[in-house]
Amino acid sequence: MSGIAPSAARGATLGAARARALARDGGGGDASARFFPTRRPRLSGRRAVRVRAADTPVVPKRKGERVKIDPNAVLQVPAKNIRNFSIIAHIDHGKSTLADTLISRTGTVADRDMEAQLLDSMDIERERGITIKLNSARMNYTARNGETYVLNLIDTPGHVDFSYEVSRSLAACEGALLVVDASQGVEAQTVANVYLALENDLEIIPVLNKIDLPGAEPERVCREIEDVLGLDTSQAVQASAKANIGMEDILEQIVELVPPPPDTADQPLRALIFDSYFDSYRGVVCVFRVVDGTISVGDQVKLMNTGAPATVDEVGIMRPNKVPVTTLSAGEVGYFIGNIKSVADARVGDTITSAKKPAKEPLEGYAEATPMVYCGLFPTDSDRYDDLREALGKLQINDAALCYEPEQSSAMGFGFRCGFLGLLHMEIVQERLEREYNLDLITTAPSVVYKVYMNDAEQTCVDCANPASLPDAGKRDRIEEPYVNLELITPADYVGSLMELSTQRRGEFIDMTYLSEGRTCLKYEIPLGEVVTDFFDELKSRSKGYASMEYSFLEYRKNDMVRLDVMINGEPAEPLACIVHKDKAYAMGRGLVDKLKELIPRQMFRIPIQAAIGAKIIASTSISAMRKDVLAKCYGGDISRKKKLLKKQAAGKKRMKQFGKVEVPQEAFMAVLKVDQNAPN
Amino acid sequence: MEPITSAYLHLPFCRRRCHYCDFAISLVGDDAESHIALQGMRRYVDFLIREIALTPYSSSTCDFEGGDQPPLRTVFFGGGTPSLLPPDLLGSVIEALRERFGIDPDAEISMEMDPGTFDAEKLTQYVDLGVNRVSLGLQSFDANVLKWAGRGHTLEESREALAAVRANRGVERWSLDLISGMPGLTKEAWSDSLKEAIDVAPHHISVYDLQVEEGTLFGSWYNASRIGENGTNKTMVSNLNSRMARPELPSEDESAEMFHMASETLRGAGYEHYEVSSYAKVGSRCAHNQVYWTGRQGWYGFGMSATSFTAHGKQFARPRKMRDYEAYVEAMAAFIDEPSRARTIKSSFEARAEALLERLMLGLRTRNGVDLVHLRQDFGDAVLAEIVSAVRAGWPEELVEMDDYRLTLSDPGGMLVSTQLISTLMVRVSSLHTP
Repeated sequence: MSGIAPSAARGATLGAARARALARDGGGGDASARFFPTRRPRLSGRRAVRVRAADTPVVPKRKGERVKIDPNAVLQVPAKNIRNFSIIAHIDHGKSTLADTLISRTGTVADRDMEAQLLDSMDIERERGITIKLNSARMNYTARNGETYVLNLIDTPGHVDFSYEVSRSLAACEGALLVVDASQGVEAQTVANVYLALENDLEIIPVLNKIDLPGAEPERVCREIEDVLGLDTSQAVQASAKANIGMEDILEQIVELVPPPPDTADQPLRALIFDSYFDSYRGVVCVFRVVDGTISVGDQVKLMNTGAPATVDEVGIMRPNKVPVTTLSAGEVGYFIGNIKSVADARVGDTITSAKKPAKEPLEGYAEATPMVYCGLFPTDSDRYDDLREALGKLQINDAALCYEPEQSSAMGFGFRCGFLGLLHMEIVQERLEREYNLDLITTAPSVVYKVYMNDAEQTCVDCANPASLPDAGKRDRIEEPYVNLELITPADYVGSLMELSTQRRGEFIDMTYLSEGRTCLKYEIPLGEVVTDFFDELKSRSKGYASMEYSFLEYRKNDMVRLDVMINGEPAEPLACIVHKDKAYAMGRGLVDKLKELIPRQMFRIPIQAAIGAKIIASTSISAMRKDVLAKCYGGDISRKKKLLKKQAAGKKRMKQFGKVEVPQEAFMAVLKVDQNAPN
Repeated sequence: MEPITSAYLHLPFCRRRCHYCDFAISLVGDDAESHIALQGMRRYVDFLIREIALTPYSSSTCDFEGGDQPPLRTVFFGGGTPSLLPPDLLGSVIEALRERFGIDPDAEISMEMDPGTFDAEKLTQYVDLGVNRVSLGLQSFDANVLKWAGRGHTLEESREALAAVRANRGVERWSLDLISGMPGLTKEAWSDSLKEAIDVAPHHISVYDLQVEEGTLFGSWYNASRIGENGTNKTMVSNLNSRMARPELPSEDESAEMFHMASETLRGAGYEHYEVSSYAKVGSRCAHNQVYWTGRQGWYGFGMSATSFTAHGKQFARPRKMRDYEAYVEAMAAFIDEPSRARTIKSSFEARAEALLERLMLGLRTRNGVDLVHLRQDFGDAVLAEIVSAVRAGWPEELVEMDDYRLTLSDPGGMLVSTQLISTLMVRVSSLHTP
């Protein structure tokens, strides 16, 4: 799936993001028969906690007490009979259904428990197309050759913000199912993830799903897979997870084609964490693949990159509910719980090793999370600053990628500048703060991180994630902005319109390839700052929803950037400042003042609104004074009505921020995202 | 609180509902003298009299230390259309008041009257019963505007009513009521109406800016279409016929203009603009209405939907439906006193904040403004300082007049946006929301 979209335009689909966020905390689908995390949108935070408590099969233990382990509960097989694989698919191409069907087919979860979940996860996929959470499931499968195999299905999150997590999940596998909708074809996100899988040397098994649909064109789609991805499709499985067609073929191919993990149980322990989450009853739960050696209950371990020590209180497998075992060996996939307080100590990509006999080198590929997008978060009610700080602290326990530091401005009061992996991540955090912590927030428009080189002797480089704090033009030598590789896959009809869009947003055309009849892949190098606006919405609207996109960070490039300041009633409105390319500054300035005129309600006096670069005003407009707001009659019976009216109006104003005498509503701080960039200048 | 010397009585009967009206009324049809209509009025007056008899003195009146409890000094019969009530029934209500509370010989007894519902003889009967101030609901001097507003009288009847009121020596003071911003009303017609009003020389003129209320016919005509950005009303009517039938609602700017015109014209003719919607010749302000705006005096309320204010934090609105009101009166005998039904405010902070809000919002409606000396006495230096600095920071200078003694809104600019000004003040004055 390919979705990024500016949060401001996405109100309608927040449910799924929310669900995903909840699911990450919500015990990770423990014990529910749900492989893919389930739909829990629109729950209050409190309720989510309750669900988690009910779902947790393992009752919290008193100190020193060990979980009872049933030695017969889990089938043990040699490494040569283990297959670790993941599923790569585009939104709606049927990943969740396929995973469910495989789980059900192998008898891992009773049919009875499967029912509800199919519908749920379908819903969520539709709503937003995000696989809600990383998870894994261990299945036993007796193949046609008579041998019994352990198949570990490792899920990947389906959003570009989390491509690092995807790469770690894929690194934990030896193979992947590439699921493509037989009536659609290859999409941008699929391409990106296949490349990631190839980088990790995974065996890729193409699966043409939804083969039973009348519009299925398996030959065309096979050609597309061969042309675009260069994969051999001679053995591609024609399947329908929904109609239970081809499931056994898939299982057989996994057994046949996916290589078994190397048997390196005798070497020092190295296990790759591909997911970790915080359970408020148990602490951090790490989900990992044992690469070398073994890990057992009671072991002293440490995380090689963060250096955090831990004692293995419980180790087990996911089926997909947690089942405790005594030991996991090289090739196996499972979880451990060990008194870790924050996911920042057990980050995705880190290597677990033995404290006593540590491995020499950690596994490759560990990376610290780098925030790509920043925004200011301010409590609407300035009295709630401390609540916001506390809530961010709690979220960070479960979200190592979230970073924040205090920010202050005269208009907005105290708040935080927060960094996120991408727009979706930003939106999830905002949602959780508002719903779970009951905070009413004002969010400023997202900004990317600019590198600002000063014109001092050392050419000092400053990271600037807040347009308002961009050093003055006189002090800086140059500004560099982040660029991304952007890939769009679209029906041919929309190529012209999407090329126009990309060019408008300062994209540099790199390549165009024809995938199959009527489908085209466009490649651009484009500033990230242009993508984190309304780009995704625009893409979807211009292609009637058919185009998909994907991007990855490329490099920093020098550009002629300027800071566009906004003045309301003669006073600078710092939170509305933005950094734009010089060539677009005029159009943006014009659009911004016009948009603000729409968003700021009339007040008791005329309000001039200006956009300026430095001292030069480049656009201005004004909001005329409100002429009339008075209750004509106010006799005995009208007094309480009048009071109600005033209280309501005052409450609305209290949610606004004050720039001098002017009251500015929340929506105005996102005005820059709402500027119509398509309008002719 | 001072002893209560004012009473409002609601007489809800109307022949029909005007298109802008959302008051609690009781329709009697075009023949207000039919047997069934009279029966209904008689029944209502019975309940009203029972309510008056069962109402205790307010505590401030009981605690009055100057000797006997002071009698009523202002009585106001509002509606509805009080002038539909047969004089004998009105007489029995006044008698009930006199018996229960006493009525000062110099009391102001006001009555709302509509053209077409009374003649000179009926007026004389009211006057003989003690009514000495008439509030005449003319609303417009434009025949079309009257028709579009669903008023039940013609211009001819308006002129007859005017003549009757002016000719009656017993009417010591009278008020003429007009509505600005009405559908179909042009600035030219409004200007003419104002001139005509001055020509008939009332002591008092009320000018109400039309409020389009939910649930009224005007509401259904104009509210859905009032989403035009920044106050420009766009009338979007689905079919052509109804567009023909519905006159244009003046825009916000136009109706603001009408407010300005009224202020200028009437002040020019010697009327004092003493409250947002009220103009009076010197010495002819409505004593009863001023009680509402002090925020320091209470009043009794009787009848359907009437609100009483008998102690701080004790504002009580009676049921808005006839049956509910009757049940309320039936149950009154069992009350220990009325305040037990009143909304009680829990914390002293809340009571204080409410009192402060009332003081500000009511005082700022009037030319007298908010008395800052009283405000400091009643709420303290800190609150006064807070209000002064909030006014300076949040209000445009040209809309306010403030010195050491008084805070007043400018006329007409400040008055016209008084709701905005007060809500801005509420946000900035923390004594109004933070304990």
